[in-house]
Amino acid sequence: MRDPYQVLGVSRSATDEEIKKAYRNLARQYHPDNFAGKPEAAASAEAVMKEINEAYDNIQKERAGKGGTSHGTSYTSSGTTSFYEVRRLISQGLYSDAELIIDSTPSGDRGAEWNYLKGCLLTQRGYYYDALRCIEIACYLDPNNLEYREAKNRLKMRASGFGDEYRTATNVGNCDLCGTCSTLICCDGCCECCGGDLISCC
Amino acid sequence: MFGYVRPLVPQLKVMEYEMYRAVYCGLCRAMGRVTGQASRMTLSYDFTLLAMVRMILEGTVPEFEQFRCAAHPLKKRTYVRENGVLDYAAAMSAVLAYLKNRDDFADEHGAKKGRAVLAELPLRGMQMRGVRILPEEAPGEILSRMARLSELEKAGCPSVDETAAVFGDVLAYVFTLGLDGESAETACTIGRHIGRFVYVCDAADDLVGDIRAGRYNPLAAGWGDLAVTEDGTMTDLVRGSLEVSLPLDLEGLGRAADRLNAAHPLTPIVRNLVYLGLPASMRRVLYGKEPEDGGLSAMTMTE
Repeated sequence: MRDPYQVLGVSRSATDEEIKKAYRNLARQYHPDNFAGKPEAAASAEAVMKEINEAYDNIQKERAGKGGTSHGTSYTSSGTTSFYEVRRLISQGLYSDAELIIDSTPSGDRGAEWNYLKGCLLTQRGYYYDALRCIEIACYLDPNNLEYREAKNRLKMRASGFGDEYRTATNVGNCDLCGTCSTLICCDGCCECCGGDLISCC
Repeated sequence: MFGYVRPLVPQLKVMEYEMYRAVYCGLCRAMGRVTGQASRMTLSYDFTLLAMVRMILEGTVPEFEQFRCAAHPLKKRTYVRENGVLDYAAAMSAVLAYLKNRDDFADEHGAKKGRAVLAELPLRGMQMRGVRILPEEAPGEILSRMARLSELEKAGCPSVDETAAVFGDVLAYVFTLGLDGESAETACTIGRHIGRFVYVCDAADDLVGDIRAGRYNPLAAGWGDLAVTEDGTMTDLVRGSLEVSLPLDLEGLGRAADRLNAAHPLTPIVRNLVYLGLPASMRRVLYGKEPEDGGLSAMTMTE
């Protein structure tokens, strides 16, 4: 497996904020919507996206471990349930097969984990409204599960970044943009644009 | 139609705001010309966006003129002069207003039904005048999509994504009709996302009322008992999920808006609408009224 920091294109000393930003930019770049009508490109983008997600998860886990909180347990607890097969299919990218199993689960067995996995599959399809409902319900049914909470937080972070490039590019609001720090952030944003090709004008 | 599709005015340049108003006034005048004076009552922000997006994609540069209008006799208003795009938006507005009213006519009861019955005749007249400048198949195509939506609604479909997608299809068709190539693709994406956004916002807005009245609501159907609290307000679960899913869905719209010709004078307005206006509408729907200061304090707050 590649070094997760290398996958995200950040240095080991990068701050959490920088990592989030790099992750968000990559996620946007390789989003399946960008490859509508180009199945081959979409397939390879999907593989890259998977690698990016894993790298981000790994860094998060590693850093959380350093911080003193251990939450390794939540990642292994799922192996005992009948959804083991679904997880395996998802990790291999066989989403439609995974969906078949999920959708044929009797309604009595649709607990927190079912909702979580269904949510993951729906996210993959771009069905965000239903996906977030499922993930929200999973967190509601099992409030202590870190895996579900993290999935939710990751999406929440991506959502909160909506319009960031627009606001940076047009200097909307924020009078503190005059400040040195903000100017630096601004420059940083522009550099990223060159690499990430998010804003065609710079 | 719904009023969720507006730019965030405080963040527009004064010039952009004037232009936006000019498109709005231009559309109003086009409606008077194409579908009759009465149709100007149905003027909406949604079709102002349709007109702006189509002008950008078709490369129509708006020409401005001043005029004293009957609704605002004191001051001259600037408006966009007659062009094909405005006429198209006016005609589409009439067709959709008519079809929407027919839906209410069939589904509603009480006062709303009465209103729908009263509006039926004038709206039919407008629609007939509007249809003249549209391709022959247009009303049928829209009608079949609307029919699919009411089918899903009657069946109590629990998936917001599915019902919203059908409404997205309606607007995608309206935005795309007559365009081809890359413009058609961009128009289609914009229409689809705007449709979905409006549909979901509307569902969230009506959630409590629909449950009380026993009407179908896609959010209520999906969330079941978790949709509203005991005292009849939207639960934090629903709010929390929409707060994330609405912006995620808007990502695709942002990418389409970024593809619009940056040199066109209306493009900054559309981008403001997408990146600032729609999230502001979302906040209004989820958290109630905009703050008393028009959101200025929040906007100038340092992060």
